[in-house]
Amino acid sequence: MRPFIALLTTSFRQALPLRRTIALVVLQLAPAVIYLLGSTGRTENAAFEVVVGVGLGTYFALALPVTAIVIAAGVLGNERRDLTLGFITLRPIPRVGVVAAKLVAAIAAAFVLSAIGALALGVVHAARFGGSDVVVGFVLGAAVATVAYSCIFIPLGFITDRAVIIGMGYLLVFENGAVFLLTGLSSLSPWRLGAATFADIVPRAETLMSEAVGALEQSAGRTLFTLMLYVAASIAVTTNLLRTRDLA
Amino acid sequence: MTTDPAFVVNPTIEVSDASKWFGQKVAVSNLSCSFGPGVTGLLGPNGAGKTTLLRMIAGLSGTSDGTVTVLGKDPRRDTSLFRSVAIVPDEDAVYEDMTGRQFVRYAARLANTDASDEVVDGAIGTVAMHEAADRSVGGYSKGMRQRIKIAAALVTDPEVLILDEPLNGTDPAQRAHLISLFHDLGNRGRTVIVSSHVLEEVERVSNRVIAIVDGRLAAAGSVAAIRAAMNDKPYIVKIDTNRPNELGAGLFASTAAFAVEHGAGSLLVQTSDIARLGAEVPMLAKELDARVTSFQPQDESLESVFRYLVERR
Repeated sequence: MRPFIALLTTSFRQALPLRRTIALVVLQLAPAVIYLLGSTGRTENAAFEVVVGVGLGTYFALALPVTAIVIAAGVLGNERRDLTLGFITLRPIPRVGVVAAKLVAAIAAAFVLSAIGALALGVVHAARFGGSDVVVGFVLGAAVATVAYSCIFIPLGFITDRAVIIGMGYLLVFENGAVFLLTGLSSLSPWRLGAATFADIVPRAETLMSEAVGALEQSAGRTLFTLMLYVAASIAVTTNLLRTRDLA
Repeated sequence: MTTDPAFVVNPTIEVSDASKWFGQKVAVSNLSCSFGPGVTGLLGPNGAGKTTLLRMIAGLSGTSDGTVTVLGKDPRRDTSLFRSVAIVPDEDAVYEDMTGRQFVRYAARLANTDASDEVVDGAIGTVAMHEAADRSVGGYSKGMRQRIKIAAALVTDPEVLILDEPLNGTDPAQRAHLISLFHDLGNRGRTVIVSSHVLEEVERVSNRVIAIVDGRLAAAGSVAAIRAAMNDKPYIVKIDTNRPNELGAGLFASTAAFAVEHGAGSLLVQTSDIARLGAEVPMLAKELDARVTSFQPQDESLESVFRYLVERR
């Protein structure tokens, strides 16, 4: 267990270098700023529409995935690029343990930053109009979406140096395109998983959200099941890559 | 009891018909050899396949064909092996934001071995890095990076230690210190493989050498045996002189050369004993009152010597 914890804690620290962390915190605070600018002088109902709109269109669609993609793609990708992958793989730790530690570190680091954005957006709204459910909804939605995005981008970061660019393409093509055209895919969309979790906690947001992105019919149990699938698939794929590929 | 110098009696590492290719490029071809306790030098010119072989032994690369076992296990499949095996890669595989001490401690923790101050300081002291141990690795010189990587490998007290060009970037004093360290580890029964492209370096490190070129086994055995094999190689030497005809005839008559070609103000001499030729030329030049302005072996690179050994084998 000690090697796993050493790898986990070091990977967590490495995932949050100062400059990158500052840039991502600024990105995370952007939705709260946009909300403040867009809701000033509005009624509670209008402000609620703004917080849901900004939450869905800016926070869940942009700030959170960019943060998760940058961090998750780097936890193994940077080790490969910096030629340190051998340093961690040539240790008496099963490959699956290496991948699990990296995944947990990525999720934790991405969530620390995403939670700042979620709290900022939720707290700014709650401070003006009350309603702690908005804060809880954003934080839980962030947790769900962060897990899903991290699971996708850890193996991608290991395979290619262009994982972040591919990630941006993924957001554009899959989240904003394919999911609208093929509604069956929506249950796998990290964006929608996060939004649906928010809507579960804040039911009055569901109508507003459904109007924007279509029906959000994820139950808590189904969301949990989907996340488990994501985690299992990510660990299996990445472990297999570590076992079969030549390591730098 | 084995008689082939490429193999040892009680091997800890066995390479059997191992090949590795990357697309069309063959990096290692049908290589068989073994390594046992003590220090073995892995010699070969740059691009010979040394690093690929070491990476296969360490499990970083799989074989395209053939097998590699370390302590009887497949290094690609059995990660428990890495309790007993450590590799020091040639590249700067270090965490630049860590201090030397953190780097060594991290290695111990990942290996689930004692990471106490005493053990970590001991490993750092072994490579004489105490003074720089609390500085960031990012600011280290190449030689310091080499030494801290060796400390990170030694902190787990490995039974098998694989070092890829560990003396690169080290100054003469550090080099002498590390060579003494490798000898000490070998004398304590550890299997130590040290790769290098410099024969003199390998000669100082180890008596047993595995030489490879173009991914194939070129020679194996003692350094003396390899040197003797090299002496059989025909060399071409270009000699610039004001009396090429007379000097050429004299060298041919002395049997120091077995072929001589005349050019304008120069000779191309073929010899199998370059040392003897080097001794004969000044004596003949003095005798003939000839002036020799240049004595230049034409193909004395390590590559050409090794290629000759491969062809002979």
